[in-house]
Amino acid sequence: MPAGETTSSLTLFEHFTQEAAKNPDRPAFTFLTANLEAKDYTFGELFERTHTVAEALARHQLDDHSLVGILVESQEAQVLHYLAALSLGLTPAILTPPNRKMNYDYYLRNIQGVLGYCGFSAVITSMTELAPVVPVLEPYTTCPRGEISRPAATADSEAAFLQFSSGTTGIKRGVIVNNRAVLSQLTAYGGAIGLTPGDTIVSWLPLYHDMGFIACLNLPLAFGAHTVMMQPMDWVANPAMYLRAVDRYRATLGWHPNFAFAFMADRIREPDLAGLSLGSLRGLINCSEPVTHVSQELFRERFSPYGLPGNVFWGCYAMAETTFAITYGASSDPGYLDFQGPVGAESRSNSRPFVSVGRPLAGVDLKVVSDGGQTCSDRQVGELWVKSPFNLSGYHNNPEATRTALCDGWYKTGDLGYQLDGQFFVSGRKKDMLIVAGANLYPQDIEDEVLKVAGIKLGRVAAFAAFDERLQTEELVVVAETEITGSEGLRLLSEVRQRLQAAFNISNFSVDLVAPGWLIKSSAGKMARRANREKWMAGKNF
Amino acid sequence: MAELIALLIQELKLPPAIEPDTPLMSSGLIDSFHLTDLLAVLESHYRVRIDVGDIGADNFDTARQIHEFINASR
Repeated sequence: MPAGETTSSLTLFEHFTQEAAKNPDRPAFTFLTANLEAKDYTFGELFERTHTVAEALARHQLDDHSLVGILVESQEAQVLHYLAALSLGLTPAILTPPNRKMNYDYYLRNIQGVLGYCGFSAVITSMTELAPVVPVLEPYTTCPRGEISRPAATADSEAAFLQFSSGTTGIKRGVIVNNRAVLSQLTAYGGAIGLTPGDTIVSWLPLYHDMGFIACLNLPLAFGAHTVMMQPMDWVANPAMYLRAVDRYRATLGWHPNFAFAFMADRIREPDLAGLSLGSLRGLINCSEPVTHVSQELFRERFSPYGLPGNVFWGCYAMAETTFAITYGASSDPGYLDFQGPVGAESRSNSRPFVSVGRPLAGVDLKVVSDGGQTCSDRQVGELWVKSPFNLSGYHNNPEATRTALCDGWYKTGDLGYQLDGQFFVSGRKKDMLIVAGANLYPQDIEDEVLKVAGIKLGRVAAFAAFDERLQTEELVVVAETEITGSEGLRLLSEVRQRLQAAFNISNFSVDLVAPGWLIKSSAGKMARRANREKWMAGKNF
Repeated sequence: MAELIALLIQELKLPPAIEPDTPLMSSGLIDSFHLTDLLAVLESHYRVRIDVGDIGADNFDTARQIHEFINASR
């Protein structure tokens, strides 16, 4: 799909197959195991296999546009079932699978809530425990074949898929994306970054998150590029495998949340880098959480000796509510770093400038709006509002959230930012939301989950974010009061941690159990998150 | 063993109530983000090399298991 090509009225799947037919023998996907053993699919093989899976899925005779969850662990299975569902005119959504370290019971309760809330018609999974909530379809392995019939003609305004505004916390913020929106997004963003069939993407990102799902699955399929995937948990345990894959496949592009750069710079061991060359990379996109210059510099300094090109970092402001990306910018662009910052901000030291997310993509209107509703001037901070051909029309089954998020065709992002000479900078959050290692979390949701644990004092929990210098991301901190101490306190701590891991699919967080009376409440009796954050930070430095 | 437990409490900020058989990974006390941290701490303190592929919930979940694993790797 070359840049600027009109997206006519084809469906997303028809575009994918059209692109695949141009180069059926080129590599489409490579799925890596933890030991870097590879399973390869050419475009021809991918769609042949998709057809087989679709034949099995067709047996269930689901109605057109039925919402179908995909709840399988391997990315290979996620990709094949996603494409099979698309080919049948269903509306698929890739859901967060359980991981080995999660408490399964907590996970199950949470995913049952998601399935019920969104009204899924069926879910493809081997988790038979879900059968009482929603019809369960066996993932394709050796199912008998069924007759496949072409889906009824679909209009470009009809649903292509459902994605969530963040990991599992987005359960009430699902976004149905139609064919026209996703194809406009892929054309605009793929065009901006100059994506071609010659590109190779290496990704550790989960496919149940918009960054992995759009940038490392739908985007390469639309442009005929090769994608090499590893399971997120394999990468977390062994981050060097990412760079080994870059070297082996001569990768050109990769998408990461900000913390991943600091994480790889900090955790990869020198012997694992022997003989590597990163010289094939042309863009590493820093996306989905606030960008810090420090994180990128740590990565650059650590891996420059291995051929990492200069100016390899690219900005991208993206969210599920706009399908994915709304800006693009390269670190070689003038004005990429801003040492002065917005009006009223203390100027940054030379090592901590504000980093631009770039300029709006073609067709995107992005503006900075003051509290009074006026458009802000350069360097004046306000809320970022966006209007684009790929904006959401509303949150699925959630009119209340839709009403507060949309205004006259603009999506109010809840992010604070400013503009300077056409470059945009994101400087904070307006909404009471935390962004932790790329996941969007609401403190109230976290506190409610912790309060379910017996032994935690009623109403005595505070959740807030503290900046983790080493990982260059916000770390979620939960402080909860209890009278329980010693080994029973340890058991309580485990339970709180397991609940949070399973409910929110997070792993970088601190839980502190404290004695009753530690937490500060405001005069109105509400939990004073800011005051508790300051108290916690002060205690940490002792 | 006491030395290892003290190291875990100090370096990974685990609660002081940790005992030799307290599950650390499966209990969520050490999360996946800090697995590489744990390995780095152990490797530099005990001067061993630990391959991620060799460890799992069955041989690396408690201080006692980690202790045995390190002794076997030396």
